[in-house]
Amino acid sequence: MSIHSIVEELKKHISEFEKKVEVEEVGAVLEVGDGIARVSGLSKCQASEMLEFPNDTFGVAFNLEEETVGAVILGEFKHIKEGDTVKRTGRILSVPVGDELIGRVVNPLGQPIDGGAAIRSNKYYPLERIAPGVMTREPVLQPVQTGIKAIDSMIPIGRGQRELIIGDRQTGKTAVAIDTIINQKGQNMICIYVAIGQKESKIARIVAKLKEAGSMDYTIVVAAGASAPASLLYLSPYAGVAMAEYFMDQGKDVLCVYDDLSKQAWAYREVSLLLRRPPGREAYPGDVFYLHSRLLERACRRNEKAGGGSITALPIIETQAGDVTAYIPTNVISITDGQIFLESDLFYRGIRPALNVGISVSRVGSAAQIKPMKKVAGKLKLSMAQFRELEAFAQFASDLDPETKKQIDLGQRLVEILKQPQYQPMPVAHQIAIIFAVTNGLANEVEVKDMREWENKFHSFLDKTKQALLDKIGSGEWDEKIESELKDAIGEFKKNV
Amino acid sequence: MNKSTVSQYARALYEATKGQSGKNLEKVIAGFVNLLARRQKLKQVGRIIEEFVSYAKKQEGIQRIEVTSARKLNPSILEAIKQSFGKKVELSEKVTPEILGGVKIRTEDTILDASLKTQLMRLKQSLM
Repeated sequence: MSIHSIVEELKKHISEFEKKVEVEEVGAVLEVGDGIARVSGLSKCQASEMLEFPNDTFGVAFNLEEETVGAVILGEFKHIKEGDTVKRTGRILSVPVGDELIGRVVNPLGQPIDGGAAIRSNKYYPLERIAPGVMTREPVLQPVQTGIKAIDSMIPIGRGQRELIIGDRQTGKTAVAIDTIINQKGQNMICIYVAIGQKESKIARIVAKLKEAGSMDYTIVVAAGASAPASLLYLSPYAGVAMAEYFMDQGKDVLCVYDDLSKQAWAYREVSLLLRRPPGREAYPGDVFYLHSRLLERACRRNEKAGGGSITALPIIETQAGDVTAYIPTNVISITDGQIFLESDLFYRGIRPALNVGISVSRVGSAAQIKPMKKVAGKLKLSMAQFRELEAFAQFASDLDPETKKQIDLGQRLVEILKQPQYQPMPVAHQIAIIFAVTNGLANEVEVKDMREWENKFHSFLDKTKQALLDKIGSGEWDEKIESELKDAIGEFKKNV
Repeated sequence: MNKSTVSQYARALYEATKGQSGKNLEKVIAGFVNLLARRQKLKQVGRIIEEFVSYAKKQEGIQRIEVTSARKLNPSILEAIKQSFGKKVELSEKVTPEILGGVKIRTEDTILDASLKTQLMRLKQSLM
C-alpha cells in the first residue's frame, strides 16, 4: 500500500467518524482497604460486572446492596482513595480466549506475564458460565493417558472426567499433574495449568520443565502467585476453565489442572469475610460448596450434536496431616468422579508416586480404558488387593505356607514396578507389557530388588525389536494371538538377559 | 443496634424537619444534635449536612449538575444546558483545560461526556 492510499484511508475513516456523547454511569468510593472497595451510586450495576477505578485499575461488583456496591479490586489498590470516581463498564468479567494463548503464561485476567508480546485476541469468554446441561452430555469413553502406571491401570481417567488429586504437602500432587501434562504430547489434548497461590519460584520451575519437555506447545499456564491479591486467586480457576471452554467449543479435548483448590477456598473466604458475608463452618461462607461445584461441573464430555469436545478436570486439594474429613476436602471429594490419594508415609518409604491404591478410586474411567489394559488391570487389581491383606504377615516370611508366600512375593514385585520416577511418563503399550509380564508370573525368577532394572532393560528391548507389537497393543488390539506374541517376546528377552 | 449510616441520619433529619418552622424547627434540630452527641456522631456532622442537602434537593425535585468545560462558557450556552435538563436545575461550573473542548456534564450518577478529549480518544481507538 502506498503512503497516499494510507492517507486516503485515514481521511475516509476520520470523515466517517461520528461524534457521539458518551453516557457513563459513575459512583464514588466510600471506603477502600484490603483489596475491597465500597462504592456508592452505580444503581444499575450488574452482578460481577467490571468496574473501572482510576489509573486503569479494574474491579468486580460482588455485593449489590441497597445503597452501595461491594467490589473486589483486581490488582493494586494503594492509589485508590475515598471519593474517587468509579465507572461502570457494562461488561461482565471475561478473559481473552483463543489459539494465541497457547504456550503462554498469563494472569487470571488473560494478560501475559511471561515477558512475551501482548495477546491479540478479539474473542472473550465470560468467567462465570452455566455448565452444559444433561442433553448435551455423553458418557466418558475415551481415555486420558497419564503415563503413570499405577493410575492408568488401576485408577483410569477418561476424557471429561473430574479426578481429584488429594494429599498432604510434599507428597507429589503437582508431580502427578505435570507428568500427565507432559504425557499429552501427540495425544490431541490442550492442557491448561492453573497455579493458585503457588510460590512464584515453583511456577517458574514448572514452566521451565514444561518447556524442556516440549509441552508448552499445547499448554496454557494461568498463574496467580502467592503474592497476588485474594481476588485474583479466587478468580483464576474460572479464567482457566473459560479458556478451556473456547477449545471445547471447537470440538477439542482439554485437560485442566487446578493447583490447588484449597488455596482458592482460602482466598474466597478472605474476600467473603472482608465483604462481611456471614461465616459458617471453618469460617468459610455458606456458598463455598457452590464455589467448587460450579467450577467442576463445567468439566464435561459433550456429544456430537452439541459440538463435541471435552474438558477433563484434575483439581488438587492439599490436606492437613492427612485429614480428609475437613470441610473443603469432603466437599470436593463429593463433587468429583473419584480421587487419587497420595500419602506421605508411602512417599517416605520410597513408593513414588505415593499412591494409596486401596482408597483411590475412579468412578467413571474404567469404561474409557483400552481393551488390553482392561485385561491386564483386572488381574493387577486383584493381586494388589490380596497383597494388601497379607502385607502384615510379610515379616514372618519363613513361617508362611507356600501359597501365601507366592502372593506376597507377587505383590512386592508389583509394588516395585508401579514405582515410577518423576517426569518419565510411560506409553500405554509399555505399561501393559510390563504389567502382563509380572501378573502372569513371567518375572518370578527376578529378585524383587532387581525388578526395576529388569523392567528398564525389558522396555528398551521391546523398543528395539518389537515395535510392531507395541503399536498394535497401543491402538487397543488384544486377542489370543497378540497375547501369545507378547509371551514369546518376554521369553525371548529372558533368554537374552 | 447503633449502626445507622450517615445517609440514614440525613434522611431522618429531613423527615423530622419537613414542614416545621420557627420554634418547632429549633427544637427538632436541638434534639437531633443531642442524639448525635449521645451516639458520638458529632465528628460526622459535616458529612451528614452534605448528605442532607443532596437528599433534600432530590426530594424537592431539584437536579444538581456540574458542567466541566475547557474555557469559561457563554451564559447563553449554560442557560441552554439548564433548559434541556428541565426546570429545577442547580448548575455549577468547572473549568478544566485538559478536556480540550466541548463539555462534560455530570448529574447525580451519570456523566454525559461530549468533550473533545474523549472524542479524540475514541477516534484513536477506532483507527488502531
